[in-house]
Amino acid sequence: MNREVLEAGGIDVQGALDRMMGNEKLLARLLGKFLDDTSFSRLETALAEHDADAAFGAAHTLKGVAGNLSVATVYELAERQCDLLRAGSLDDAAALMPRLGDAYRAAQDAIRAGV
Amino acid sequence: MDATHENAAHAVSNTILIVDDEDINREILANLFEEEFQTEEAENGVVALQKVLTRPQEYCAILLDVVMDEMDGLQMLEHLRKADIIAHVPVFLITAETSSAVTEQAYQLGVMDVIRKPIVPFVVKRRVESVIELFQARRRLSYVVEDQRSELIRRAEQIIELNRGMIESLSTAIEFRDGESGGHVRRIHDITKLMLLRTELGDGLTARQIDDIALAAIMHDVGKIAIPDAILGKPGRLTPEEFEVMKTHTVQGERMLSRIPQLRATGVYEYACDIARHHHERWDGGGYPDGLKGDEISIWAQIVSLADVYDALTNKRVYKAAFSREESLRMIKDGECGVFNPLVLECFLRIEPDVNDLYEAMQAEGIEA
Repeated sequence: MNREVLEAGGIDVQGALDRMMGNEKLLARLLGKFLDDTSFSRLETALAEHDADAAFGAAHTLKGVAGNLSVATVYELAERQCDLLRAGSLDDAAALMPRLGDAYRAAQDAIRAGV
Repeated sequence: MDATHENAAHAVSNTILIVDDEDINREILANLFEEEFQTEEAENGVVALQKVLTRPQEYCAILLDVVMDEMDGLQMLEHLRKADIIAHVPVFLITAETSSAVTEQAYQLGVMDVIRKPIVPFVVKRRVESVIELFQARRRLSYVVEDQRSELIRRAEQIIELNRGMIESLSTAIEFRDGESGGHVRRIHDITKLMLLRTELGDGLTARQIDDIALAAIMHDVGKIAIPDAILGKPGRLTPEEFEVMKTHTVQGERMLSRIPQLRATGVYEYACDIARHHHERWDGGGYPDGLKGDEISIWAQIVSLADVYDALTNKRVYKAAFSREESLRMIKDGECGVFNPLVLECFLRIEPDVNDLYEAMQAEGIEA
């Protein structure tokens, strides 16, 4: 596992490892699963369809997973999405998507390269 | 109690159920607890609820996510509360939700604690494990208390049974002298109890008082031990002098019972003395030894006197043959055995078919009449 690559992708490797009781194998495996996680694409679809409830659910799940894996950049933006969607600001949420998308893809690339 | 018995009867559950729709989250939590506990996972509330409701004993804690597609965490909590599981299995809400409304609702629904996602391992472990420990200790303690309680009840029942047995044996021994077998005292006990349980005569009495009265009824004739054999075992009619002696078994019985200090300390005592002394009184004042009239005679003494007459008539005695059931009832109704309280008589006639069934069952069991 290449820490520097992962950290450059916005992942707090030490924080994630602490959460897994130092189990590096588990972290590697769960980061792998994060690549298959559907919550980001579900969030995109829901926003495109103006489905506020589904968007909130997806953002909330993304926030939980990113938080647990210490993907700090995604976590922060997903949290902000949750707040916006809870307040019903679909437009603001849509406006935030490019930044969230960048962070998400950066993390994914780092995982592909660094795990 | 040996240890294996205790373990089998009161095994302490050791499985943590993790409910979250993201398997990444489930795995992280499972990894935290896998050394000390078994873990099971469920991807939504429906699956989780199914597991818990089928085997509630199995789980020592439930870690519950709030936002899930199929039945969310709060809905599941509601179900757990209705099924009365929340009191026995601690539930922790693990959530990325920061709004205080959800937290407040969760606490109102009986959740043990709310833990934030992303989780901090030592916080989660510490909080969850100490609550599990508390619940397990509480459960073990309740098992111990429950065991001790049932042991105490068992012993108390044993003592009551022993007392009853001894009183019955003593009374039967006395009855043997005038040629009767153990059946008589048993039947008087049963009739008295039936009358008090099944008719309004027992209104206002507790189950305990009824048991005491029925036990007291067994001792109604203990005074006969003071009556000479020649009179007690005499076939045929007694002379007036002999009858005067015979009548003293009532007063003698009361005197004997009043000299048993252990009996005095029990609820049976007052009833036993009253019944022994007054079970030959009659409603019209025509009985003995005190010639009491009407309500001056306690209801239990009245019940025992009627039961005693019915039992004497329907069974063989040294001085007479057994009358048929119909003839016995006719004689009682026509006042040939003295006057009874119409209400007591009416109540007795109502339960008499049951008494008759009881007699037949006793005969079938081989207890002599």
